[in-house]
Amino acid sequence: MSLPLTRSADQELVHKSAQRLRWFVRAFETQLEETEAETNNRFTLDRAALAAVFAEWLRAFEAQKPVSADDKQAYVGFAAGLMLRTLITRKPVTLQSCAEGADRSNPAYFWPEGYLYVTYCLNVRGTVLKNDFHHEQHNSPTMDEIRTWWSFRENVEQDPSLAIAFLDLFAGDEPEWTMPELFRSGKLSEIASRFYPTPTIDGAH
Amino acid sequence: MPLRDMFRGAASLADGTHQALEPAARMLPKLLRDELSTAFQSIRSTGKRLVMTPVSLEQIALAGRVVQGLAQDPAAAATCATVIGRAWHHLSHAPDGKTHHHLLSETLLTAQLAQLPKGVATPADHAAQLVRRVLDGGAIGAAPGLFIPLGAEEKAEISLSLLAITVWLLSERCDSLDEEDRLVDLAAALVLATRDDALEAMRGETTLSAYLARASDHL
Repeated sequence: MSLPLTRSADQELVHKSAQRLRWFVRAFETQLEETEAETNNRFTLDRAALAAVFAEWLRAFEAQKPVSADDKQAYVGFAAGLMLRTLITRKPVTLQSCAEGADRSNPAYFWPEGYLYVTYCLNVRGTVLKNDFHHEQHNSPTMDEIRTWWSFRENVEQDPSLAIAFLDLFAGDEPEWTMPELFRSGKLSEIASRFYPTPTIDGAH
Repeated sequence: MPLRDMFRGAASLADGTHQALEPAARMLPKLLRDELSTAFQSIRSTGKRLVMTPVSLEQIALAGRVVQGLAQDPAAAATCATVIGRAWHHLSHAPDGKTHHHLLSETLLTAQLAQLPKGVATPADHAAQLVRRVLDGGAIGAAPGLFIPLGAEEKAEISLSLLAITVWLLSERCDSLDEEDRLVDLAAALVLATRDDALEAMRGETTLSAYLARASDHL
């Protein structure tokens, strides 16, 4: 995905640009066009709903923003998960038409809007980690597994916050299935792991 | 009264009169009805076309400086009023059909902008004062300058549109006029998405300043 350029004057970091509505909308529209070209699915975008997604995400993002610089990289993944949760809840995109003869066992056709949201969040997450934190994101093969997508769709319908954990899973990171809507700083995460066992993906079913 | 304010009034009057006469017009023969409709349409489109003065990127940049309190001479105030007037027109004819029909007088607006206090602490503080002055000064309404009472919903609608334009002018400038138009739309969408926060912020200048600073930062 080709994300919009950041401000060249002061070489603004991508994670800073991503906190601006103009960048967010342009990046989302780019992703939508690329997903349409890749899948032959056609979508309609409600821009007012997209602005509402941004406003709601920003509020959630700022509410748990960590103070410690050590937590900033981990917060990128969490913030991307918050975005996925908000997109899934607010639904700014509607499928207009699905590609003819599409294979429904392919996640892009099983849940076209969900696939678009996940791809967008994964791409922004990967770009921010690479550009601002010099960290390479290696997406998990679960991204292409229909069984995981069944679980993903069913679970987020009941509890949209699980989108945060699922995005970590797709991004190849360790998901936090227990209270995924709470960001755990490095220290807190360490303490929590002593009390809670680490569930597998089946635990999310 | 400058020509643009007059054309704006004529176009708006044509809108209202056409709507008001619609039930009676149904009783007229079709030919006459069509001619009447064409006449109203002509007044409306001519008025609106003349209202839409093209503005340049430099004028928008200057308007931004006026809103931030960095330029305060009379010519800059007049330019700023023109830019705000154009943005007002743009928002009131948005393709989503959420149009408002309130008028903005550039003449009154220019006078209010020229009288803003100098030496205010921050750009957002200055912008907050501007919003307050414009709303209290009656430059926007059903008939600007006449202080015709408005309903709570109409007042809120005017406040939100003015906030959107202020947020837009406070934010970083774009490279083209198309992008600037798009940014005004995004500012309006952002203000509408945070409608409750925006109206709550209108209660005081400090809260308004904080809202404007935050919204323009994130636009």
